[in-house]
Amino acid sequence: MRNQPETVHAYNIPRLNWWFLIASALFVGCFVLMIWVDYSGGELPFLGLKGDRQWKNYQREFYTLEKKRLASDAQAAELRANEQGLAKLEAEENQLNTQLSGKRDELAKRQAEAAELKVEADRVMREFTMAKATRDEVRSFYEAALERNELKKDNPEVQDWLDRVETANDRAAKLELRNQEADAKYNAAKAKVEELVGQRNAIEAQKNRLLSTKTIVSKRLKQLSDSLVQTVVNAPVLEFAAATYKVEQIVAESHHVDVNFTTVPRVDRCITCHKGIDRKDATTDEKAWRAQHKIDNVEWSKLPQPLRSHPRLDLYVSDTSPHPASKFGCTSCHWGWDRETNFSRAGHTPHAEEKGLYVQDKDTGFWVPYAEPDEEEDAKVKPAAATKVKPVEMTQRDAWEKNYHWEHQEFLTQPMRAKKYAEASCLKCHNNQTHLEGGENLDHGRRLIEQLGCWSCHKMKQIETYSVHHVAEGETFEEICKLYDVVPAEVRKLNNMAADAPVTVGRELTIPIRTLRKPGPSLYKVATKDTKEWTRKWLHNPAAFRPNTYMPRFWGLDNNKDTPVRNEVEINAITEFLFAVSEKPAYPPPPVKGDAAHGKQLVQQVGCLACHVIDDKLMDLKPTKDVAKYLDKWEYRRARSQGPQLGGAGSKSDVNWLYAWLKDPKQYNPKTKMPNLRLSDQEAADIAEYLHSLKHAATDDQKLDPVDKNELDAVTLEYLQVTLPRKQAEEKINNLDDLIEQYFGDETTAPYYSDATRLAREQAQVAALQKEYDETFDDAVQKKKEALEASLKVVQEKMAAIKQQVAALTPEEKKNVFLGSKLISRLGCFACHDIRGYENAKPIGAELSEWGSKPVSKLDFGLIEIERDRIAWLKQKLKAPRSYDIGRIGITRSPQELLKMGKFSLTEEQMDQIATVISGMTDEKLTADEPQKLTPTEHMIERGRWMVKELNCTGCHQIEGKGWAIRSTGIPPGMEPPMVSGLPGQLRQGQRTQPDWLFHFLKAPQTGQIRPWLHARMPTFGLSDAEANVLVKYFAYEGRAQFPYQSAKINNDPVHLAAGKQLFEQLKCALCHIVEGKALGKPLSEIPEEDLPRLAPNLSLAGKRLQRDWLINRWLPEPLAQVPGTRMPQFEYGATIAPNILGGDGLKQREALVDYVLSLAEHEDHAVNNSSATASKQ
Amino acid sequence: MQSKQWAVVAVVAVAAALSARAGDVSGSVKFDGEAPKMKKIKMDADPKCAEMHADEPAKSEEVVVNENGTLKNVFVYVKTGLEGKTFDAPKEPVEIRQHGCMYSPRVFGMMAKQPLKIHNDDDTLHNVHAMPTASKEFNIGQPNQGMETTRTFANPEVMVKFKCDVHPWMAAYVGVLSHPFFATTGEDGKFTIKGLPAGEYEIVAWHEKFGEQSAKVKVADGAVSQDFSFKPTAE
Repeated sequence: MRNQPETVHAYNIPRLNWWFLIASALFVGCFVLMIWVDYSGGELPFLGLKGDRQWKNYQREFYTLEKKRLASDAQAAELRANEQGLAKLEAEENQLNTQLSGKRDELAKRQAEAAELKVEADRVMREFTMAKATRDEVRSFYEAALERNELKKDNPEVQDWLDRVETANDRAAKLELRNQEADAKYNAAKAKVEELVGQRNAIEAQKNRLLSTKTIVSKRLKQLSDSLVQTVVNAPVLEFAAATYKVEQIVAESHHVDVNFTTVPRVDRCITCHKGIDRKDATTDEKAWRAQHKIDNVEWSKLPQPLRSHPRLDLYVSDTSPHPASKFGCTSCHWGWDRETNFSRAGHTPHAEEKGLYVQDKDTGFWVPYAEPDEEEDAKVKPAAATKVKPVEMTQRDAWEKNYHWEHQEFLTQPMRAKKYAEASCLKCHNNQTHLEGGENLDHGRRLIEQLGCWSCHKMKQIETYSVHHVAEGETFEEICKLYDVVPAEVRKLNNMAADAPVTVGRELTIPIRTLRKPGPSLYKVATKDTKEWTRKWLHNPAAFRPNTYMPRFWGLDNNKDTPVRNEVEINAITEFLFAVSEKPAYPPPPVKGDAAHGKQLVQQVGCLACHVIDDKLMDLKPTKDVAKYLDKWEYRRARSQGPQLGGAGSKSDVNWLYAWLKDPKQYNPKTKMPNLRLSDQEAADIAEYLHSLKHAATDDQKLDPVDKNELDAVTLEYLQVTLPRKQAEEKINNLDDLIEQYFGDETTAPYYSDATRLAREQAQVAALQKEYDETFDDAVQKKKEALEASLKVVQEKMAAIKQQVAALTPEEKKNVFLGSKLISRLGCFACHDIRGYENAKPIGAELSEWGSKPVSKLDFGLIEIERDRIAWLKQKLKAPRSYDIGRIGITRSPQELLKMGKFSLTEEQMDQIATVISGMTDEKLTADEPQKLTPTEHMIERGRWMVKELNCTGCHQIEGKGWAIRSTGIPPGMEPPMVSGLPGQLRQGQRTQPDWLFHFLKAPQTGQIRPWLHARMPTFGLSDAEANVLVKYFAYEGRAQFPYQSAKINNDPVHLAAGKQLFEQLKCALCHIVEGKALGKPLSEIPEEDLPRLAPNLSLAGKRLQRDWLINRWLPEPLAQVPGTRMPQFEYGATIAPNILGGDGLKQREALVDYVLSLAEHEDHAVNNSSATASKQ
Repeated sequence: MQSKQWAVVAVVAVAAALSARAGDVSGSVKFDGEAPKMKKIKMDADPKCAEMHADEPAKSEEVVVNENGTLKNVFVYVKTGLEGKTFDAPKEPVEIRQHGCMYSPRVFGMMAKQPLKIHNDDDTLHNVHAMPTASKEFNIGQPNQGMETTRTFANPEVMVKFKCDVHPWMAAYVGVLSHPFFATTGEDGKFTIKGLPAGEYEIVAWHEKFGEQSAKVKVADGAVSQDFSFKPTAE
């Protein structure tokens, strides 16, 4: 036998078998590993697996808690049911059942009878229904036959159908009757059954209602606790059907996210881990009740993350909140990668700077913030647990790295906002609102930005807020301006409208909400206010003179601290420039000699301290305890820094200037926010004297370095070379006149300097007009020519004078003025200050309106080591704005290329507030329903709120429950300015005072009218009619008051008024209230200081000031409900206090009293005479 | 047999003692220093008030040192030790009178939800302005002589100040508590808190000018004595 030839293989079979075995084992191994990883949380660091399935573990934890919750809820529900009489119901039911058991046979008989009758009734009903159907069918056949036979009724076919119709009608009628009979019989039988069991059934239903919560809860608990069911539904592979542990998501349809060139709705999977996010804690009462009955209670708000509930369910997540999760999802506010369930990749962002104490949790192994143990509490709970764990200092970032293998996600465009900056997202929709509940950080930040003037160098659309008005049919431009109380010219400019252009229907007009003013003072007259020496010292480091000034520092920073000689030249040049071009009106000495001691007293009394501090360190200030409920420390500091710190005023300005300023701040700077306090000559002189006595020793003693002339030449040359070749620049340095003349002019010459050919053009125009006149002899042409000629003559004379003035300067002065003007352009000083010659200069900063969306890769981190993260970059920019030049100066950056932003003196917290706002300025597109669209009413409310902030009204008053900063400055109780409006439900100014009166009062308040005992004065803000109207409307709309206001009719019946007078006397109103210049039976001037806080408002002014309805229905019935803490007592009007007046009718008594008080005004006319308030006429 | 009976008696006695042991805490409040002079009150602001004190001007009762060197108007109460126990507020009202443009009593105690009767004996306008923080503030005008108003405080608070805005010198203080264990020192400077269940307590003595002092006491059966002593504060 021949051997079969052996099959030749290119491979070795036995070896291949081995490989196959290994591969299979590997395959099975991988499969098992995959399942294991999937079910265990997916953490295998050696394979690079960092917990992609952690959510399963979180969900297991959640369901453990959920079972605990359900069990306790069931227990609670049962107990509640018992409390509500479950036992009694059960007893009653049992008793009734016992009674019934005696009549079992009877019941069965009746039930059987009823059942039988029901069958019969149903049968008859079916028959009746059929009969009706047959009848309808036959009827239609009859009509068809009639038609077929041309409506001949005697046709046999028709006759046949008619017979059938009659039969069918008969049958149906009979059956209808039988049906009714059968129903009646059945109902009677049913009633007989009810007779026996009705009561028991009703009790059973009641019992089921009581137990309904328990039933539902128990059912769910049973589902979750059934381990077999749970194992099966969550088993590998089978889990696709109805797993308990699954990825969960919210699709926020109207909130989009940009995914590689396309936008898609956000699909938020956050709730996969954050499963307790919408769980409400038990109320305090419920908690106490449960504790009392020893029933467990899961406190969702105190659980460790990720199961903790949202801290503000009133505002977010819950369906009743304004931001339900079902509509907004999570990432539309929090940001982060919506679809991701891995901790790091989802973009969780820790705080990487502040260190805190952390301890390792024994159960989870996680590092958690260390809470100082409450020793007494701990001893009670677990006396044995005294094992002390030593906390370790680390940042949140360190803890997250340990707990969750956290890694920075550099390429995520929308990383989650770290907790501190979470409010940033509110801005995209709510930038129109002045106050944001839950957005306090953002509010403080926005206010800081307004005050620091960030917006004046960097355009920020979110800070310059507008609302949009859609022009309707028949509306004129003027009417719209009136509606919003805006200046027409401003609106035209804002909307790029020609001077007389009408508005077209459907056009969208932008209406400003905030009217921002340059934050720094005008420098037009600076030479009369400060000295050159002081100005140079100030420019070196403003914070050295005023620690909390809003003026930034520009010299001695990271990119110029090594060039002191150049710095001195630059500072000197700016100073020389400002003083050379400044107007120099003379301020004579005060007409009377001032008394500094009295001035000091006045500063403390008249209200200066509501806006200024003297020497206090602003950042250490906190409101006193009694005021803390009206404003937090930031609002308090804001109020007290409305105006500059007054300490050191004497090192800055002289008495003459101070006196003139105090008497009328607007004469120096028409745009200043400083109001006029109507100080007498003596008072102003006293305060000026006091302020002048406040010296800043360090500034006074500071020595300035001399200015190096060679350096001045060098820097001037450097700036000339920006536009000129070196050769020409070297020549030009000695011939600078034409470059600096423009700064010496005024608004009439400015257009001629900025447009070099304008003069020649206008001269040509004059000649042309002359020629036209010579031909036409038209007088109008002649007039036009003369006017133009006259104005040109003035301009030319001015320009000639300026030429002479400039020519008279020394070469060094010219260089300084030239260099100063260049430096001001470079640093952008004009953005915050009015500076001559820069009226039309464009701000120098980059627009920041979309900064929050800027990719991190486009930020220049320079050569310094910080986290590649937007916020880190921004905070570094605020902390050390020039630090991104470090390592580049003179190497890759020439002096002209160095960074320019100044350094503001800010605390860490303030920088966080600003960072919150700026990181919230994004390019996110909103869908139509998202941004806050304001109605005209809401618009006025927001404008009013903003004006209240801008004028710092809350420095002295309480408005909408906020403010009263002045009460923290040592004003005795009873001497503080009044509350204007409170929290919802309390006093509303719009309801209390008449709009007409309020309008005049705001425009021209008078000292010593309503509350003459107060030392603090309502300042004159110099409001325009439009501005006063904004406030009047704001108070009216915000207070939901009647507007326009219809004057209430006073009941002038003498009997009624006599009753009012009698009450007025009986209630001794005049004991506290001022009437006709007297109180406590004495003229005001004779009342001793200590009795002043007892006095009450002047009632002689009530008639024109107060609203009748408010007095009768709100104020008199319960004064404390309107103004908490008021000295006005509540009288029990009616039979209790005066049974004999007006029949003891409380309402009639209040009406009489109020009408009497309002008629008091007749005797004394109030101060404002021209009552043409536009407020009440719209 | 005998011993068994004794045992029964002992068990019964212990049980009785455990369930119903109660004691009184009493003592006096000394004033350690020279009695300050009581300042005269100027009542010019309301001639009706001045009239009532025409013979001798009223004196400020801010600090009243009794003849025996004790301090009047000290409110002594149990601050801690009664947690978890509830006590019903009595139905009988506590009374405060406005008499001669002064409050009487000036310092007193009451329970939360207990009625407080406010009486005006004077022929002038008084307003009773109570300024609690835990309960609702009230400010009632009583323009007529003989008027009476009843109010309650919903929640405990030590102390609630009363003032009259018409007559700034008038002041009174009430300690509102959730239990009936308090007392106020009178002309003899003594106080007694009666029927305190056995236990350990923190007892606090409060004075409007000199502040608070506290002491820990252990109440078993019978009386416990606890004295307090206040020193004048530097003016």
